[in-house]
Amino acid sequence: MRKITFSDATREAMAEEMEKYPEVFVMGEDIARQGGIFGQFKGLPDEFPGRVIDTPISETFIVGGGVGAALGGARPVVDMHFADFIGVCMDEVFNQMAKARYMFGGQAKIPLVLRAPDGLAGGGAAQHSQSVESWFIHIPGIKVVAPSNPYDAKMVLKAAIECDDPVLYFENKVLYKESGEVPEKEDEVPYTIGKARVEREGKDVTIVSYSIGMKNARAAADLLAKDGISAEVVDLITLSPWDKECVLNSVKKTHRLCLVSECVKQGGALAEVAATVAEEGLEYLDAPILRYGAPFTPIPFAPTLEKLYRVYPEDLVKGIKGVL
Amino acid sequence: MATEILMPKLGLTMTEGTIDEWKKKVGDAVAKGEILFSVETDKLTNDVEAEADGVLLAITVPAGETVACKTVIGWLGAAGEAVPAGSSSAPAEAAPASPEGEGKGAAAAAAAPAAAPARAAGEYVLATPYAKKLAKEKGFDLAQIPATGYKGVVVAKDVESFVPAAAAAAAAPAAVKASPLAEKVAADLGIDLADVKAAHGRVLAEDLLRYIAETREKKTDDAAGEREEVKPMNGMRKAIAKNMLASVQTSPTVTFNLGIDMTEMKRYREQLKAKEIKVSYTDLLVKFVAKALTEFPLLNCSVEDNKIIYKHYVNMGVAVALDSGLLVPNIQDADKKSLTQISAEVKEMAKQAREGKLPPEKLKGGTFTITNLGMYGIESFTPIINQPEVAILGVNTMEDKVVVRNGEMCIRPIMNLSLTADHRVVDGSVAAEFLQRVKSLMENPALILA
Repeated sequence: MRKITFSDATREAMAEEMEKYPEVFVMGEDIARQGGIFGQFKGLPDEFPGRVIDTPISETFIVGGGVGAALGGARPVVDMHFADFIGVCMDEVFNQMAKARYMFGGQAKIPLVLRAPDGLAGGGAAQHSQSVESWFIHIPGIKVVAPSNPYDAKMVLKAAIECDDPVLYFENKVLYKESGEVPEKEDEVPYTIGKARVEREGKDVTIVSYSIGMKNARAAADLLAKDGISAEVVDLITLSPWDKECVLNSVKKTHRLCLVSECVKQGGALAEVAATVAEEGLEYLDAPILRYGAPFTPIPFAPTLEKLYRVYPEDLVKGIKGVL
Repeated sequence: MATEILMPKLGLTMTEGTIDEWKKKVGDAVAKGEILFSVETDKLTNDVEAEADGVLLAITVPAGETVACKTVIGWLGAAGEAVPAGSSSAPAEAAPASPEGEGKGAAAAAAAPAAAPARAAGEYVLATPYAKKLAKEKGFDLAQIPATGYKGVVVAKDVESFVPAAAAAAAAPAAVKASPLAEKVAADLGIDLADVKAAHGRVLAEDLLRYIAETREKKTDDAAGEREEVKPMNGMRKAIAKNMLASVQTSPTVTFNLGIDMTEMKRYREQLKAKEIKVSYTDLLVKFVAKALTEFPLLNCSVEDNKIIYKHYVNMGVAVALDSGLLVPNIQDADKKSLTQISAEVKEMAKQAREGKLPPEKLKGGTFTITNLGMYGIESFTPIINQPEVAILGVNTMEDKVVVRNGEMCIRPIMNLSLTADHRVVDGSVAAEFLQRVKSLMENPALILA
């Protein structure tokens, strides 16, 4: 099967959707002339003249304008440059984008995708490295997705564009450069927002993650396998609404749950998973739920400190062995 | 009514104690005032008396275990009386009172997974939700299932591997299935087939061979072990190890050596002796050093959080060597006591220390320490400070040496003093001046009255 990068996969998704729906357009900072700071929009402006638009540095406008365009019948994709900047347009996100369809009694819809590159990128420091997905899973009216590989990146983005509700699409900056198998268009299987995937079957412990956290999940599963411990790896893909059935079914099988993400552990996106399993699947647990995430501190700039800030597969292995 | 026997708190600083020995067995009658057990603290071993008449109903903390003060260690009551529910006969279950309880519980359970766990009726059993669900489905009593999980919790595999007593009894008489060859070889070699693990259902000759190889390996390991022996430290040794390490990590030290001409001191001692006052050189040192300390407050202080605590009294510690270690009881207000008082106290302290009867308060509140290795012919050493003190004086052997006095060679009894001081507060010049002062006092004993 052909291999392409995560970044190319998102561009393919964009091109195919723009081809299919004339009402799809993209706007954001430095995306038309520069092609996006991570190259994820390269080539699109030539292919679709006038439909890839550079904006002023105003997140408030980017999302506010996108919501207006969506209400007017367009299917906008708006780019946040860095997920860290969403704070600037928070009202547009959680009061306008998330509420409009509900407040208009369903007479309006907001088929908008908000793309937000996130994560530790090596020296990005406190304002350009964050993973802020947990803020948005607390907001009814927004769907939150965070794919972990090129194939998902493409299929989830296509699903997000076709979705009639606003979708926050978190794409990890480090994953952009990573290659993976992506089938030809005719062999693609569409993604349904809200579905998780059991990426690897196992029987001793369930490791749940998403986005870049999946690298830790997979690596930990590999290390555990060497010691004869079989880990089931679940990729949530969608954080809101998340696939409760998939996780509970896995825990019923393995009786142990380990959660890992790159975001701050306190109040992290997977805290909801931990709480739900404790609430609805307690009798299936044979060990305390293990959680791994970043410490409760801003992201340090110094490379040595950033190293300490990260979670490593060995951390998971140690924790899991401790409760087996 | 049954009453609890608690780990006593012997002195302010005691936080935990080790049961050295139970002097009574469960079921023994005990009279009030009789010695019930002995406790080893970080300083001493003390006998503890029964507080009432009765029968020792239960021992919940066996000898050798360490628990926090006020932990229930046993029960006293009337003969045949039941120990109240909620107590237990296993130390692991008394865990909540012990700071290391959890870890120990796990270790104890792991060491003997087959043994029935000792839990009192109605006691809450720590188990994972899934283990509870399984136990319920299988109809097992959770309280009967030994715990091997993390933190001593009953986990699913404990339930799955659990064989109820009735089932085990039923299974026991069943003979081990083995091939005829395996049976013959086992009989010839005197191997119990029940010990041999079968790879496929019944024991085959190859299983037997593997078993023989494994046990031989194990024996070789044991033989290697005979050249070494592992023994746990007793309470005093642990305390010494801990305190010495802490001292070295706390105090940057410098040791100063100075020879004292003991001619006059020897004469002074003879004069006292002639008047039937017998004192040792240690007694004299306590007296003279105490005087010097009143003049050098920096040698008689302690340090806490960047503060210097000056002591307006001298509690002079005297190191006493024992077979099992070392104790440093102190003479309180040594600077205000007469030589004969000091002498009597030093003798009494040394005797009590050797008999293990030193009252705990004698081991507290020292402000300076003297340690004498002179009887071994030692000429110089670097003693380690007895924290939180800031200095310690090492006393060496007294030897006749050729010295020069007034341009002439002569023979004088010389004794070296080795002073170790904490440089955080005692600078070199201060330590040297102090040692000079001790020398001057000891070479001119009349100055003790000045």
